[in-house]
Amino acid sequence: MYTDLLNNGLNYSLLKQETRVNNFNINNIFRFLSAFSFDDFEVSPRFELNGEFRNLTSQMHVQDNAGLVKAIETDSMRNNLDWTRYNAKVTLPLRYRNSFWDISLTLPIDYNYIVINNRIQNDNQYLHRLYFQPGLSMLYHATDKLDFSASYRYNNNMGDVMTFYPGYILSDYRSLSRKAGQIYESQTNGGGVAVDYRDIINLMFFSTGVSYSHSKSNLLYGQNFQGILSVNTPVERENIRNGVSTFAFITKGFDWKRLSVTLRPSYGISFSKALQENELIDFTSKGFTVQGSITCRPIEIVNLEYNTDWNKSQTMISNLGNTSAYTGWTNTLKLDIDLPKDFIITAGFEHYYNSATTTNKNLSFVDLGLTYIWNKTHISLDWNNILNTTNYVTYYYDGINSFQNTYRIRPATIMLKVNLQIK
Amino acid sequence: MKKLLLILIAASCVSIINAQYFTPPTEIPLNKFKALDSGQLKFTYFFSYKKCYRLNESDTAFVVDKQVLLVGKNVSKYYSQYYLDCCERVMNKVKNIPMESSACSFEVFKNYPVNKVTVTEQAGSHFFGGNYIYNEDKPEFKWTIDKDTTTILGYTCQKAITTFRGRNYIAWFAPEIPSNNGPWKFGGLPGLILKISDDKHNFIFECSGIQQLEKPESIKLYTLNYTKLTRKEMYKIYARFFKDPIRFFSEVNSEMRGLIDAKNMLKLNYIPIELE
Repeated sequence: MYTDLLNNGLNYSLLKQETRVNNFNINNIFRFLSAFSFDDFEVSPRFELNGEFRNLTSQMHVQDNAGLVKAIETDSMRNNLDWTRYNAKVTLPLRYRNSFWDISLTLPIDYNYIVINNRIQNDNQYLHRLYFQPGLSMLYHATDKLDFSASYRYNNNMGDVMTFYPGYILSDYRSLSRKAGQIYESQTNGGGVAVDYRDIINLMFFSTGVSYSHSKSNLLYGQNFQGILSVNTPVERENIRNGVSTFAFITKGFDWKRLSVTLRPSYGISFSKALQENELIDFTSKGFTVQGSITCRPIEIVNLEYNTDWNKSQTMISNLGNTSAYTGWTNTLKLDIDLPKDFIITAGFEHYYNSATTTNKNLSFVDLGLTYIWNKTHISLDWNNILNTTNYVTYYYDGINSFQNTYRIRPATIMLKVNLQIK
Repeated sequence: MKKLLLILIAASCVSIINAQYFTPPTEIPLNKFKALDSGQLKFTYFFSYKKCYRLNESDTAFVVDKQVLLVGKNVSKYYSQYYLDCCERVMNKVKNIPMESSACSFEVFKNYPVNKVTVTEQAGSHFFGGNYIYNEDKPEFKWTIDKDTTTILGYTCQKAITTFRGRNYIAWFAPEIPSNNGPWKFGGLPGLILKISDDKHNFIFECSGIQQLEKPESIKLYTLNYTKLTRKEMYKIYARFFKDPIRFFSEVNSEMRGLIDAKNMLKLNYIPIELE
């Protein structure tokens, strides 16, 4: 495979890649032991000095049919980078609190000095950046049951060695990726509002909210295909991504059998751009999820819990239109029975459905266990995967690329486990 | 995450008395209060009670809280000195606050409003979902005064017995101290109650000091965002917590919802002081 790219058109029997990342961080924080307070106001100044030292090396090797191993010396196929970042940050968090309001304002000023040493190109880069990254959060206690909250945050990101490396790295057998060899910088601002209602006496809880994010970066990632090989490279071009999401949460508890019912729907939509075979395309991804749970104790020694998670995802691409939506659904049921004499019986059933997988759309698992607690020793006898399901399939699709992983898993087993607590 | 929560809750539950009381996990603004009266007399009690949770067999079965009865002209307040000390340290941002594991977070105001008893629960939102307040009619204790006497703090005390909300109590009161008050909700005897305990010895209040204040102390009702409820509703909340603390904890803390398994991982003994 990829003989032209990797071995001057010559066949090879084995391809090996060695990639190593070394990280070393130093963080120093200076702050006062207590905040400065004045009436309902509070200030807690903070000063930070941080150091981040990273080194990335990657090297591919091929082995020819005679068994001879040689390194691929092409500069574009290897990396040897030192990344050093010195960071000084002054933060002045202000807080105002009274019976109704809790408002926090952070005003950090962040200075960064980055030194990048590309040992292969024998090239050094020095960068300075000064950032102002304000954040605001507000909470209003309208009543003893009702809270309103809002938040806003602005952030800068400079990436790190993993968003910088200029030489290709084989991230899997069909994906070859490299970054720009120039710093990836992004600015993100985001915020949200939420309402929270809680009635402890009647065990009724409700919350809902909406949030957004807007980010802008200096690089746009492009994807080109060479046969089955996907080559990912960045292009210096403004890249904007917007996203909006909303959620709700509702739960009702009952004293009867300690029953509790919860429902959590959420919806998110995001808009972004990408380069596909040198063509700029617009992505719109949306997803809808509903999670629910029911827990109860039908009798004092029995705990029953049911969880469900249903989701539907779809991506729209400017030149392709809507892609087909796929759905996933997970159901789990757990049962615990506390028997006398410190015996516990556990039973579990799990069912997974994924509409996008080509095989095994439905997967089911059943487990059964018996535990005995003797002083500090837990002795468990578990019968796992009773239905003897042997393949576990996961699927991911982003509109262009789809990934289906099939795992061979352990068949039905009976295991005896002893957990000892020495002290 | 689960493990951390379990340790946190277990550590806090060591400090809980049978249903009601917590070591202060939250900050209480002690500088914001309503002054109800001026306290002239201060009585210190040691309150021993059975733990709801024992870490292991060698763990003690009882804990002791230091509590104060501050008596004013019209209103009296009964509160935990340990809890107040801890709140002060939290408010002053003192680091490494030693936690008195026995500190109780309730306060009892007698005759506020007139002929009523007001009780606050200040355990905070992390554990009980908020701070609570209820009031009820001043309890009518039907005392039977006995001839037996004993001496406590140098005062001759007389025995009296009563039944209150499902428990039988034996009290020792000092006729020499002309106050019909006592610890917690107790009172109604012709002299201050210096010692009182239930017949099963789950709860023992014993006076350890009497002080005539040279400079009167303000009887403060802290102005927190209280949720008003009834006594029965308050005990319903205690019962829910003690019967399934992990589940309750995850329900009342919005940031924890859905993160922890609702399975009963921690069992507590629920021994409410008021059974009815």
